[in-house]
Amino acid sequence: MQMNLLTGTPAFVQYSRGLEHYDYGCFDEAETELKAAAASLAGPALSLREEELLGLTNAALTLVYAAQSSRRGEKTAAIAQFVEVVNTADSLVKLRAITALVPLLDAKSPHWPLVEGEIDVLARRGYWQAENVVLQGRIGTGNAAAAASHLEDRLRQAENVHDAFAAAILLAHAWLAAGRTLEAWLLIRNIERDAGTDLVDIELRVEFLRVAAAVAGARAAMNDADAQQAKSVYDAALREVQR
Amino acid sequence: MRKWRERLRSPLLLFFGTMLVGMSIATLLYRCADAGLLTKPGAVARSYTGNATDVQKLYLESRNSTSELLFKIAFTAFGALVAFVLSGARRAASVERGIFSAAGLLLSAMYAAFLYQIGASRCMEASLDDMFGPILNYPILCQFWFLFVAVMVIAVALFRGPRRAAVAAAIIITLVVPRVASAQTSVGCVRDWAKSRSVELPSSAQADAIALVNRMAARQRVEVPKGDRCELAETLLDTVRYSTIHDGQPASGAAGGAALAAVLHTARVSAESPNLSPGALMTDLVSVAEFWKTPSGIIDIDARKPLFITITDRGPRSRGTQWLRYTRCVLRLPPGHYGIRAADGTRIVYSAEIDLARDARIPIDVPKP
Repeated sequence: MQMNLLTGTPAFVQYSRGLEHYDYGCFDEAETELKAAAASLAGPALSLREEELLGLTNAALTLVYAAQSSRRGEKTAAIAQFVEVVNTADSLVKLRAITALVPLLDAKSPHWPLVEGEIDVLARRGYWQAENVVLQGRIGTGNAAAAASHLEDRLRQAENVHDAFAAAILLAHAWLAAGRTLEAWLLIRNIERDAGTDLVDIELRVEFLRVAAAVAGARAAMNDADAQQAKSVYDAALREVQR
Repeated sequence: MRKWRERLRSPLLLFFGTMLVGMSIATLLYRCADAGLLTKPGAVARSYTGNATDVQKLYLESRNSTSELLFKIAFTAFGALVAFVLSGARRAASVERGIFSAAGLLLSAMYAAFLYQIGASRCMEASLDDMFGPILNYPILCQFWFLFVAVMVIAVALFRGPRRAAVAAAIIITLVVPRVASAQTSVGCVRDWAKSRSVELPSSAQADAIALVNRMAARQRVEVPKGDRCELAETLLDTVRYSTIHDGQPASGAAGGAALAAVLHTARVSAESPNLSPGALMTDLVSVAEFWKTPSGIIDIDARKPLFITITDRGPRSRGTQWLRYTRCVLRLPPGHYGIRAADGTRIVYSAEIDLARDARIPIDVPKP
């Protein structure tokens, strides 16, 4: 999936930095880095791998332009640009485009068949962002129970700590949507015990805080005193990471 | 003096003599191997969790089956010799001596199998890394050579005379050589492979390529029919080529050939080493070789220029397993439904879904983008 090529070259470092800026929502900085990467790759005789890095850099630039359009409220332009990236070869740039595109699409969008086909492969390969998109779709169509059952299997087959955290967080979300709030709450408390030391993926930590706040909110509405207190902590933590 | 010489040549004495010598050699080698373990008793080379890696499991399985096969052959041959001796037929003294000496060697081979089992237990208790060392190799070598010498002694004893010996040798050659030859990859296969990928492979690299393919086939116990020998080479060498290009090396020409030569040599050394290094390339090669042991089909993808190929398993129970290559490439995969994409840089220039059947061959010629 991730084209781990030419690691250590200035172009690759700039490309990686550009993607990092994108992840933190600093789109202008991302654009600057990616343009610099594209400029350092401009040359007459590129190797096959350099051509791929140039392709990835251009795709990442389109991704950034799409995010900028989306931020300006130009939804149609943003969708067209994200779709352009979704149509490229498999990469982490493409994964980012898919996850950014899905919330922009309405139910009757003609882009769903393309997006669903791509998400399916990514989700099967264990990319939790893609699995999350599939989960949202199932919850949206009233299939939360089926999604929960799938994620229970997925948690049993988790191959490493990160995989297990991702599956557990998504499962808590699915249980919450299926109305199994107590189970979701117990699972969140269980994840919380180890997340502080073992959950190293920043994006997944933020997702955990989101799901945990939602589950705690649902329990708090049922007069669960422990959840009420926890919700305020999760909300504060979320505000802190989103600052 | 003559009486003593006669006694020394008595069949029973020869039997005990060869058995004792054989067992002593096996024990001595085992003790040497045990003393030279990678992990000394009491010392901890690395934290031992008891969890074997896939490579360790494959290696141990391969060694176990080799030892078991040799044990079974030795046991059966020993049984046949006992039956032959008890048959009561009159035999020449020289035949009698040969049979009893061979029986002693066969018992030594069985004893070496027992030492192998002790060695395997030792590795399980102490450190799984030690299984790649001589503690498992020496007993198997002893098993093989004692068995081989025993068979030779029997052949010489039973087929005395130049004409008979020649017939026996011809039979052995007829039985053994085609099996060995069927597993070998020829220079022609490697040359054709390099030519179709526009790679100018140095002759030393051709030798490395042949050795690598044959070693992987032997290590994974892949028995390839004569007609498919070149395809085995293609599937393995395409894996090496992908790894080389993925590292940023040129894809074709003399520069591509030189880069590939360096990787092929390293891969050959790794494959020939008793410690199969579990790096990404060797893991890929092992998994590619494994497909030659199960019913599969062939996908052959060609294009005008090297394109990045992604093959995704789209079967209903698949976890989206992907195989990545550069054209031209040949892959052997289990029957199933696959998505194939070719990309120029990151631009997808070809996309198709295929159903691969058992023993089928699907050629795909990607049109010019």
